Amino acid sequence: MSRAYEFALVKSTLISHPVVHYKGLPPDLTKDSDERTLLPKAHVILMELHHDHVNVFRLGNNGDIVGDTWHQSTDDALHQIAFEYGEPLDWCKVPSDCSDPFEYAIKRFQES
Amino acid sequence: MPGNASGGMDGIALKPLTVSFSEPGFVSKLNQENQFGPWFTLSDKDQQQLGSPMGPQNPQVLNRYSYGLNNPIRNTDPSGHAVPPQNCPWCNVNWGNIGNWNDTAKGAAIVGCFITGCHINTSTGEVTGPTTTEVLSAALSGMMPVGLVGVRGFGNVGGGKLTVEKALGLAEKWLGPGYKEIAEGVYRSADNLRQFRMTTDDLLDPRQGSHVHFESIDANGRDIVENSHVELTNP
Repeated sequence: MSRAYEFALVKSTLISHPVVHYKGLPPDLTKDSDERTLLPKAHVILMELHHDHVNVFRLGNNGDIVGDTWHQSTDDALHQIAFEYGEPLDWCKVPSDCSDPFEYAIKRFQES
Repeated sequence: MPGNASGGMDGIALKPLTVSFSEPGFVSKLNQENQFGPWFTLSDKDQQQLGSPMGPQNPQVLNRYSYGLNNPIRNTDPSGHAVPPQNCPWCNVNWGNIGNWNDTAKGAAIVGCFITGCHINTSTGEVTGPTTTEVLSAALSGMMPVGLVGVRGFGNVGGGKLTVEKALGLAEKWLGPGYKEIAEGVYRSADNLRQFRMTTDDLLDPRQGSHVHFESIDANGRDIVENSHVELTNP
């Protein structure tokens, strides 16, 4: 199934982000002991555009996924990103013939 | 009792009731198993290569007096060699390629697959049922009664990985009563402040592996403020 990708580099200077991404169950489900690990800061945002939803991947400086969210529309996805990073981002399209959009986006970040 | 010293009866050689530890077959099989280490520490690949957890390392099978792993109420053993899985129509079944199925069918197949312990090739979309050996090993590990093989439910919560069944149970707790499915695999609490996500993309994620999300939503009802990613395990 075809899907398009767009990416943006994060230049946010926010010290404290209003959105946090963890690995592990929330404390409400672990008898209030917090067993989560905070995921690292994102340097690249990659949007995966499907016909009926959008996945937003946050990539660390080595390309690892450090958080992903699902949205019903591109509008919702952009709202989430603006809410999370507090600044408008410059979006670039990943070429449609690119075999690995994740690799492509992180290379652009590393070259920047 | 009629017969001879080697256990033969009327010219028919009988297998002795206890295993001789000097039997070439036994030693050979044990050596083969020892190359790999304990069964339950092996990877899926090694378990498949080894073929069966029922060999000499399982002391229960050394006793030829015992029947059905000494549990004749739960287990049957018509061949005398192994306890076959009961009620396992999904064992060794090739479900075909779900890559081109619609999202609803794909989602249902994937969830069903995780619960029954089958395998999904994320590159090709091909789904195959668990082997009888895998089902047997799960039963022997105490994870499930042999009569109910394929129905798993003892996730390792503290260790950070969950089975699908455990994840679904926690999702119900997370969402509370009155939750609704707002899209395929995305569930929202009645107050719109919590979300559980187990979409096809999450379950078939080739980069992060199969996972689910427990999320908190901002009071604006739109943005995620806390996103907890939890890996799924498919023992």
